[in-house]
Formats: sequence, C-alpha cells, structure tokens
Amino acid sequence: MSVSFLLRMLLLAVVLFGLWGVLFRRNLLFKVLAMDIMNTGVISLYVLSARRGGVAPVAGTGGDAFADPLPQAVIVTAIVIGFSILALLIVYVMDLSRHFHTLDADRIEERWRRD
Amino acid sequence: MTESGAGYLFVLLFVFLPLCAGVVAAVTGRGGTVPLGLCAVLSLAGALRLLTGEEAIRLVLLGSYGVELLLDRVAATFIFANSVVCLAVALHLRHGSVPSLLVPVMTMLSGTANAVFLSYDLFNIFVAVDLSTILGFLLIRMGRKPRQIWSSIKYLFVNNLGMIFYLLGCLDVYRHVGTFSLSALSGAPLSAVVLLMGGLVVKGGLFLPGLWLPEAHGEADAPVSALLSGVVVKIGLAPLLRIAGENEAARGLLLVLGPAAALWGVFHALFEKDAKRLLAYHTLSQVGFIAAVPSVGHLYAAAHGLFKSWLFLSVGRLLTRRIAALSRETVSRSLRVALVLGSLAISGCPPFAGFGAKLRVMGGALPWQEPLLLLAAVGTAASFAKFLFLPRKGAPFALKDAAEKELPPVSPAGGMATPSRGAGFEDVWLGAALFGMGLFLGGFEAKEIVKAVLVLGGGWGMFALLRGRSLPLSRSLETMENLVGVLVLFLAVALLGVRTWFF
Repeated sequence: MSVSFLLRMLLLAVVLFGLWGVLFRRNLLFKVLAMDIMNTGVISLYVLSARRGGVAPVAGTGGDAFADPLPQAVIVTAIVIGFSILALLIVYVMDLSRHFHTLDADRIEERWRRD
Repeated sequence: MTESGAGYLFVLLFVFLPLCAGVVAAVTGRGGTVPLGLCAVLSLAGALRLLTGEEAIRLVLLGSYGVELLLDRVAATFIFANSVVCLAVALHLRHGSVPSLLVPVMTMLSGTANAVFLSYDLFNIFVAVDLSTILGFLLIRMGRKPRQIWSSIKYLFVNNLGMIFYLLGCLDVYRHVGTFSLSALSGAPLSAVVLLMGGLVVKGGLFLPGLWLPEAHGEADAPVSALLSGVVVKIGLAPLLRIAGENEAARGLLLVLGPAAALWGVFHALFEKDAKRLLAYHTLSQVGFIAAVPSVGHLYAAAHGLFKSWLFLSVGRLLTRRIAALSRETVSRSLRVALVLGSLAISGCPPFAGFGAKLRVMGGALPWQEPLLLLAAVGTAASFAKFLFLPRKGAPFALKDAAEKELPPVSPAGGMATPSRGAGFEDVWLGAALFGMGLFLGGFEAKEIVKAVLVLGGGWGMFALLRGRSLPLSRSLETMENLVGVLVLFLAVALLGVRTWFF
C-alpha cells in the first residue's frame, strides 16, 4: 500500500468525519465547525493530488517531477472563500444565539415557527 | 478589432463593471439606485448585441489548463434576463428608503451572476457561485428581522455544504481528465458528475435538495426575493444546463429531476395560504420546467426570471401576505392589472414570453415527460387563479385551519421599501419585456393557442374544485437538519440511480 493511497483514505475519513458532525451534532456552532473540518479535508485532498514528485513548482528543474501548480492555485481561492464563509457563519450564529437564547438547531426552528 | 478583443470587452462590461460599480457605491455610499440601473442597461445592450451576433466567442485564458469563457447565445439569454430584472428592481427601489448596502450588494450580485453565465470551466464556476452565495446571504438578511437571520443562515449553511461536494467533484474530474474545462466532462467518472450536480442542484433550488428556497425567498424582502428568484436561482441552473450538454449521465439526471420538481412545487403551491411562499413554491416548480429539457432550458429560465420577479415586486406592494384576506377593495386597480398580467404570463397565456417558452419546453420534452409537465402547467394555472379571481369583499376573517395561524400577522409583504402607490415604471418595463420576448419566441399557431387556452381553462376548473379546501402539508423537510440529510441522501440515490440506468 503506497503512502499516497493511505493519505488519501485518511483525508477521505476526515471529510466523512466532518459530514458526520454536520449531520448529527445539534449545536449550531459544532455544525459550522464540522463543516470547516470537511472543507479542510477537501483542501488537503487537492494538495495531495497535486503532489507528484515532491518538488515545489518553482524549485523544479524540468521534467514531471515538480508538483502540479493548477490544483494548488485553485485551492488557494477555495481556502479564502471557505474562510470568509466560516467567519460570516460564526458571527451570525452568535447574533442568532442572542435572540433565541440557544444554539440547538431544532429548538431554534421550533421558536422560529412560533414567532 | 479581433474577435477575442471584442470578447474581452464583453467580459469587462458584464462582469468587471458591475463588480467595480458595486464596490465604489458601497465605499462612497452615494449614487442611490443609479449603479444598479446603469450596469443593467449597459449589460442589456451587450446581451442584445451578443444575441444578434453570428458566432459564439470562446476565450481560452490558460491554454491547456482549461480556464475558459464562452460567450454564446445561452449565456447571452441568461445575461439578458439578469439585466432586465436588475433594471426593474432598480426602478422599484427608486422611491422610499432602503438600507445603504442594498443596492451595492445587488450590483455586485448581478456582475457575479454574469460571471457564472459566461464561465466554461468548473473552477471559475465554483468561485463565482460561492461569491453569489455570500452576496445572497447578505441580501436575505438585509431587512434585519430575526426571522430572516435564521433563514439566511440555513441558506448559507446548506449551499456551502453543497459547494463542498462540488469541490470534491471538481477534484475527481481533474484527476481523471487533467483539465477543469467543461468540454472534457463527457469523459468524467460518474461519481464526479453526481458530486458536481449535487452542489449545483442545491444552489439552483431543484427538487428536494432545493427546499431551503421557499423559506429564504418567502422571508426576504420583496425586491430581494425578486432578485433571488429571477437571478440567483439561475446561477445554479446555468452550469447545470451546460454540464448536461456535455455529459449524458448528467442530462439523464436532469430529465428525471425536472418533472419531479415541477409537480412537487405545484402541489405545495396549490394549498399555500401565504402569497410570498406561494410564489417561492412556484419557483421550485418552474425550476423543474427549466431542467426538464436542458437544450431549451435557458429560454424558459429567462422568461421565468421576468415574470417571477414581476410577481414578487407586485406581491410586495400588497397590504397583506394572507391570500384569503385579499379582495377587490384592498388591492388597487393598477396593482391588480400587474398581478393579473404576471399570473397570466406564468400560466403560459399568449402573447407573453411564458407561452413561447412553455411551447419550446413541451416541444422538446420526451413522451413520458409531457403528461407530467402538462399536469404541472395546469396546476400552475389553478394556483395563480387565486390572484385572478379576487372576491368582491374580503372573505370573513376566520382562522379555521392551523396552516393559516402559522402565518405572520398582517404586515406589508414588502418589508423595506413599500411605497403605497400603484403601478410604476418597473411594471411597464417588465410587461413590455415579457411581451417583446413573447413576440421574439413566436409560435402563435391556432393549434398551440387553443392548447394554451385549454390548459388555462383546466387550471381554472381545478381552482373552482379546490376552492376553500386545505391540506395541512408538513414542512418538516425544510428544517436545517433535514435539509442536510436530504442532500446526502440525494447524492447516494442519484449515484445508485444513474449507475443502474446508464451502465
């Protein structure tokens, strides 16, 4: 079993772990954090699949040995977007907790309908 | 000027200009609705120029990596609808006071939407779609009501989760075909296509994963809802249609999802008591029509953008959201004209764009799709008969059924800017645009007109039968937990389904 295969499986496990949190944690803050764990797993998968010979693109001296720059360039953008969405979500979840006095998604839903 | 030079000019006009104008307006806090209106007029001119052009322009930005833009008729049709809707919203917001960030965010959103329509590679689509999700989130909660905050968080959460799946799909495609370009998608593995579709189906509000839509569109203020239904939903649909054009499995998935969504939305709309939620459910249903026949979906999407935003803007001027409380006394005449014309347009009545677009969809539908879509069309006519046949006096106020009790108390459906006036320039503009597009789409043959009239008549008959009846439909699928669960289930079922049917 190669190292890269093992790493890939581990990262997929991280994504699934995050998904489990999104699905089964009832606290909104944990849901948001679990989603970020998923995002981190996906980002690491990109980095992993871009690595080909273990040499940085700039340091590469030709041939196919250096890392593929495109997924890396692409994932930098995704990191920024994921970060901004995480920040927005946390700020507004805080705002929400001030109004509903709870972070439990089910209870918020219940009170929301009653309002 | 070379062809690609013209292409870059178009990109500056459609994407760069609205984004810059939005940022400048946000920083300076000046300009009122001018940036939104001006950018809309300029993009409209560009879109019309592109529509009359001979050939599509393809801009390859990064050679072998497949970062591409495609300026073709499909993109131009979407941009056309976007700019018409934005101009109407700008005209609507001219009066009354609005939050200072509203117009800048709307302007940026229209530029982002144009970027999605032009993109022809997976990653540009990802960036623009996610940007539009953030801007949409800001818009939904612009009215600052606690109800809107919860709806907007649900919207952002579910859409972002969908985009994480999309990102996984992108990686899978890149690993197999070595490029992000959509044109290489025919060779993409199935799991990748399903993951890509998962994210976009959520964003486009298609069928069950799109059930965040009724709440978000129902709670947002009316001008925002108009933009959400008219433009933001298409941000998910345009890439879906593009992918379906390249990949057979994706097309198959849309063919099934389309009619299912059309019927599901109409069924819920028939028994809805809240005017804004009714329109939101119809968005769910109309999205089904768009997806059912991917090759002509863009035409229907454009027509839907026009009439749905008109309906949202009109309903926003009503004194109450409760349909039962509407009567000829409470709705001014000019507003009634706008409501009736919008309702007729969405029901597919000639000579409006709804007729021609429905005709194209029906013409392209598969034999098994046709009866389902026809049933959905009849249901749409029945549902909108609620606005056509207003009672003379408001119905005696009775809170018999539970569904009606859940509605918020009588409050202006508009939210932020609710000028108490009749029709305005935006009504004239949207009516004219619908009429013009209807003429452009054509198809006024006696046989087809009789068919459309029959659908309308059947719908009104159904309305008479169902009048006064209610069905307490559960909304439990619209809670956050269930939305997430449904999305995951959808991905699993889609993967299994596609594998069984195609291989």
